[in-house]
Amino acid sequence: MLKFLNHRETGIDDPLLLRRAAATQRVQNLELSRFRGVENLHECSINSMDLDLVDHRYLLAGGSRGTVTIHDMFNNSGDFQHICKIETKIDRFNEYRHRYSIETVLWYPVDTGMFLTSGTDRLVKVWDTNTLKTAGEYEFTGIVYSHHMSPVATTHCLVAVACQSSTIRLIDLKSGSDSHALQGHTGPVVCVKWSTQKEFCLASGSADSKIFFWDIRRAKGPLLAFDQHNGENVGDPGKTSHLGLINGMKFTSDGLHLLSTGTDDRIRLWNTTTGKNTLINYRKTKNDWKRAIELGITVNCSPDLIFIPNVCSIEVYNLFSGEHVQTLRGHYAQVNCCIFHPHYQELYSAGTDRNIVVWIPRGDSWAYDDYLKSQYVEKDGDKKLGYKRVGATADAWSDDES
Amino acid sequence: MGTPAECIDHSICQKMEELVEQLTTSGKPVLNAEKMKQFKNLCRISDLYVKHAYHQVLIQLKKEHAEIRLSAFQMMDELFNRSHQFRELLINDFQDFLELVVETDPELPLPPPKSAAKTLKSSAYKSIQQWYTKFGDAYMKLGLGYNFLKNCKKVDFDDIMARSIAERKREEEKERKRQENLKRKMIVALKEMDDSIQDISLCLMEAENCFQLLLPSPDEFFISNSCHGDLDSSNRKAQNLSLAKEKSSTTVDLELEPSADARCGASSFNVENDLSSNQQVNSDSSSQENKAKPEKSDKAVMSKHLNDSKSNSVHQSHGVLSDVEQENSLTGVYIKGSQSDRKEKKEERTDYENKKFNEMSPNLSQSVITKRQNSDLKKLIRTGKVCEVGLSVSCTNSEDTNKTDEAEPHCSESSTKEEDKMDKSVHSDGGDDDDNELDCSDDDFKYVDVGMNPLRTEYRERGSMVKEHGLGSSKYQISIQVEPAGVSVKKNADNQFIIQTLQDQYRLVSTKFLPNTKRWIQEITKAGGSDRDVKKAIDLKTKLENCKRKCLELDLVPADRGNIESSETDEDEFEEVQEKEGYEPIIPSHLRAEYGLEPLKPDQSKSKSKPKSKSSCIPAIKGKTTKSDWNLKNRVEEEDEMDPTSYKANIKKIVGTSSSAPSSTVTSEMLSRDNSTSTLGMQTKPNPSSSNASTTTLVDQKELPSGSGSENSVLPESRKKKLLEEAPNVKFGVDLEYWENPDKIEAPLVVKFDSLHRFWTPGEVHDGAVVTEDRAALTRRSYTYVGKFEPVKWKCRALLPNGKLCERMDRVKCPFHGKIIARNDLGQPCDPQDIEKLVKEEAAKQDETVPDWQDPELLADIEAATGVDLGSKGKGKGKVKGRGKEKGRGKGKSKEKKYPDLTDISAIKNTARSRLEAKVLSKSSLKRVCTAMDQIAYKRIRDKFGNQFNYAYPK
Repeated sequence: MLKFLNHRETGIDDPLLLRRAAATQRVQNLELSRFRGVENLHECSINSMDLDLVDHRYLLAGGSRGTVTIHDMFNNSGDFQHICKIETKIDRFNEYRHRYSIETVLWYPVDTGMFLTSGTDRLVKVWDTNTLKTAGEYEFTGIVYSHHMSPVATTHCLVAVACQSSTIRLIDLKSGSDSHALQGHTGPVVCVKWSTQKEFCLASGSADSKIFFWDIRRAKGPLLAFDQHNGENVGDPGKTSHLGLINGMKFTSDGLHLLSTGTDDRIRLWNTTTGKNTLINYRKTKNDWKRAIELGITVNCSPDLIFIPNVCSIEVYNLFSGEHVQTLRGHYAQVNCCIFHPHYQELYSAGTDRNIVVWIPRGDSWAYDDYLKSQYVEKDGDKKLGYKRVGATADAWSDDES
Repeated sequence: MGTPAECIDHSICQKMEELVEQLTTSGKPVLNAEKMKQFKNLCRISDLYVKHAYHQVLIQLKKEHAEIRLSAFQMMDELFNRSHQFRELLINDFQDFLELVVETDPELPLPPPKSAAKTLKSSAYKSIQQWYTKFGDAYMKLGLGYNFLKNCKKVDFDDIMARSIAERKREEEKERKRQENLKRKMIVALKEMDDSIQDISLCLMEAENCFQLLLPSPDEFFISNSCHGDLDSSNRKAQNLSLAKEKSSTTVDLELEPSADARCGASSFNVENDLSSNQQVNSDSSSQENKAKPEKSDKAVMSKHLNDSKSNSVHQSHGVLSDVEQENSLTGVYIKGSQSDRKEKKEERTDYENKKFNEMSPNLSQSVITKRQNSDLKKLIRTGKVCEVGLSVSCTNSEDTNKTDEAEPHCSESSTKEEDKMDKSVHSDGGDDDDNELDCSDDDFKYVDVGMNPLRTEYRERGSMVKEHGLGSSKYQISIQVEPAGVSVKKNADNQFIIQTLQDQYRLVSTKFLPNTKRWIQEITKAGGSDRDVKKAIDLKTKLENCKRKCLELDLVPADRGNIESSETDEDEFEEVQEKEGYEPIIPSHLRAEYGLEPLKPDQSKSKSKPKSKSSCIPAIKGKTTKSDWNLKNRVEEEDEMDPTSYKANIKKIVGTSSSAPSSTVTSEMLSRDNSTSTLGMQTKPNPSSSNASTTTLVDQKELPSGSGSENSVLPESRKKKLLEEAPNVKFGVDLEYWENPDKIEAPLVVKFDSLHRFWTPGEVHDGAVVTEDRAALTRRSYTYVGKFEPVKWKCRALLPNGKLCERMDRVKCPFHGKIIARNDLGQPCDPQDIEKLVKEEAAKQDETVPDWQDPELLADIEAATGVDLGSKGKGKGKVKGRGKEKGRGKGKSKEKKYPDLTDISAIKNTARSRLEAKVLSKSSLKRVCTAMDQIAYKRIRDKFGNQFNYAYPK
């Protein structure tokens, strides 16, 4: 690490290298934060979260009772101990709220002044963050499982909507109209993601076990169909990607690969240019959730790690080797979404146990310990006690037991 | 935190493991403080040990036994509060921990026993809350878990205490509702009672009136009799009664000597006998020996007992009384019957009553009299007056019955107040020939003499008797026979309507009012009604019960009494079944009826029932009436009879229509045979070889007709009866046809096939030899001697652990207590030989238990040292359990023994239901039942469709 610093100082290396090295190191060991928490308001399971792309500060969370909260994840209190406060919320008394469960929440990629939610009441709503009123509403024929906007799009402002019908709809926010329909799936589309590299490309995963890669300029049919067997004839005529419902997809930050999970308990990584299965062997991860889940993937790390919900724990794998890195245990029920913070290397996760959990690098914990130490010494006044744990973490063997 | 240099001490670890096991398998709701302290001390040494301890305890926590879990949880609680390391570890696995302790996963419920699981859960909630308040800040995950429980699982931590309050409230509410309900019921009952009380009183009154008509009460006799002023010989009659009421008349008594004198003749003997002999007389009379005694016969005093009885007490009382009497006589408190109108009237009425009831039945009249006399006598007793000594109730056949006389019902009474034992003594006086009066000849009235009078009086009386009545002696005596038997009323034209009404009332009372009243009482008392209401209801009940009792006593109960009673005692008809130790696959044939099974095989049962078919048949049938309901076959057969298409029903129909005797027997035989035969055709020839249970009975009917042929019909009834009496009971056979001329029996001819060959023919068959052989075969019968079943009359009576005596009734040997021997009331053997033997056996058993070298501990040590299994565990356990119960050697048992303090979970599952299920629904029994049912179904189909070709051949 010192070497990296040195090189960076002298300009031998690209500054990116140091950053990457630091991030990678930090991300290797995550643990449940002892000093960071998230204020929780939801009286229901949290189905979806999103971190804004502008300054990665605001965390949007949607619950199954139509409630939405926006947390400020930035700790400006100056204290280690920090509970992330709710900035604003759509509670159960908001007249515009979703009547049923919210399935997906999404920030408008360019600005935090707007976000979109969709839910089982078949609506996609566009919200004004400041007034917490809907700016627009789109109704569909079935439950809206997922919607997404391209994070890199500059020329269009399209929202891809995956709903119970097999057609993917594209809504143009500019005109407020339904501009495209992408047909090809034979079952309900569960998740849809825009490419993080090509602004006109998107991927969709469906209950018919197929993942299609679309270019919206070519609406005739999908550009690619991801085949789990890479075209080898194994008696599977349909070119399926999984052997079950596809409920989670995530593009890597460079957009070259697509990660997908299905109810066959498998995780697959696809090459988005060739449409090939990279055949990386991740462990079997239990996954029987019939709705969209959000996968976490690190940014600017080498190697990158992925965070896959495994019922009530989160499994961390090496993206390219498939190696199991660690298991994060902290939830008490099904985990629905994992959001990686690219700057802090923190992970936010939430699930049906209603908790939003912050996972931080272990280094931060140690720092916290140091801080506690210093705090204690300061408070105590005299230095003779030296190292000692404080407060509640101390051992408390009573003397009468000796 | 343990430094790498620190290494773990194996011995300490082992110690910890032991402690963990001991602590968690104690089965107690609270940990052993001493051991826990030790354990904590060990943990304290270093964090490594804490870690070790954590894993150990976690292993225990995962055991499928709530008590183990509870103890493990309590250990965890202790350590959690102590060690940071432990907290870290536990919180790391907090999800699993919650699952194990508060069943967060509904698919993984807490293990049994339930009570421990409940305490575990509640104490876990409590501790988690404590942990949260204490450590929540430091351990984020704990907080998350707490929130999870609170928000998602809706555990109300703040309200764990308050919840109990809520529960209490709920219970109160429940109780209140219950009370309300009861009260409502009570009100309804009261209303009902008020409504029907009139009906009831009406009914009761009616019944009472009926009783009065049928059987007037003694009080009314007097009233009614006063108008029957006939036959008033009151003036003449001297009745010597010791009635206090009539003290007033003492003076009169003394003046009116004649009646008293009249007695003198009779009591001349008495004078001689004197008071001193009184006792003797009494004792004699009471022992009914007076007839043998000449002196008494002279006196013509015959005594009759109402009851057999305690002559001793009588003696004693007499001893006392004699004095009293003497005094009485001296003071002249003797009351003469002539003055005592009442007594007289009574006499007359007795007579009258007698006559009246004689119409109905002599029996009744007698008993009525008995009653009345009893009551009268009771009155005497009540008055506390003197009772006479001379208690000789004599039954006389006086020479001259026509010359009846004033009865002097010198109603002496033993003041012992034994109501049953009433001796009545009547002194008969000579003198008046009063035919109207007590007529000894025609009824059971007996004139009774008590010859005990004080001296002075008697002297006087003698003279007057002669004077007044012209009688010199008191030989005319009436003895009254009083029977204690119950009263019964005979139905006749006069009273039949009364009785009918009474029966109606009885029915009404017993079926409607009485049950209703009982219910009301129950409801009122349950709801805590006022005393007044309860009293009212109870009064009503007593009245009704009295009425009912009266009806029953008078034997007036209508014919349906039996039904009513049987319905009441229905429950009792369930027979007590001795518990069977196990399934008995083989049932001895003589017990088959007891098991509700059909006799094993006709052949066997027949030979047994043969010798006395009637006596053995009847009980069998009786037993069947209840048990055959359960017999599958019988039920199916019954069903068959209902089904018009079935074979059986057809047969039945034919039997019903056919009138000729032979055909009916044949068909009935067919009936009985239909189980075994598959032919449908009507064979009219009985097959002698087919031996069925019913053939024996058939023979009984058929024997005579077949034996005596056509003459039989001519025979007079008497001869038939006579013949039937002496006719032997023989199995059916050909020889019955030739019963009266057995020589004529012919063996069936063996028909030889004639050879079809034109020239060659077989040699002649020697008929004679064959015939004799065949004849022998026809006349011979074989019997299987089974013997007579004698029920066992004794019980084992060995002392059981629960203090009772063994009730098993085995013939020779009780399976539990060995040979049956004589035992006393405490179950100890009486016979010294038996005692000796038992002691010896006991000693032998103890010797046998553990030889020195087989000491289980020693064996275990050797095993531990050598690693060779010497079977110390199984044996040791078995032996330790000992006392002949060495069944429990199995592996399961020894395992169970491992933690004796824990509740046995498997025992919970071992319910009566499960055991029954295992037996009833076991594969083999199901199979058995299925085959049986299949067979029956097949048979039925065959009966119905057997003549259709496509069913004829079984697949």
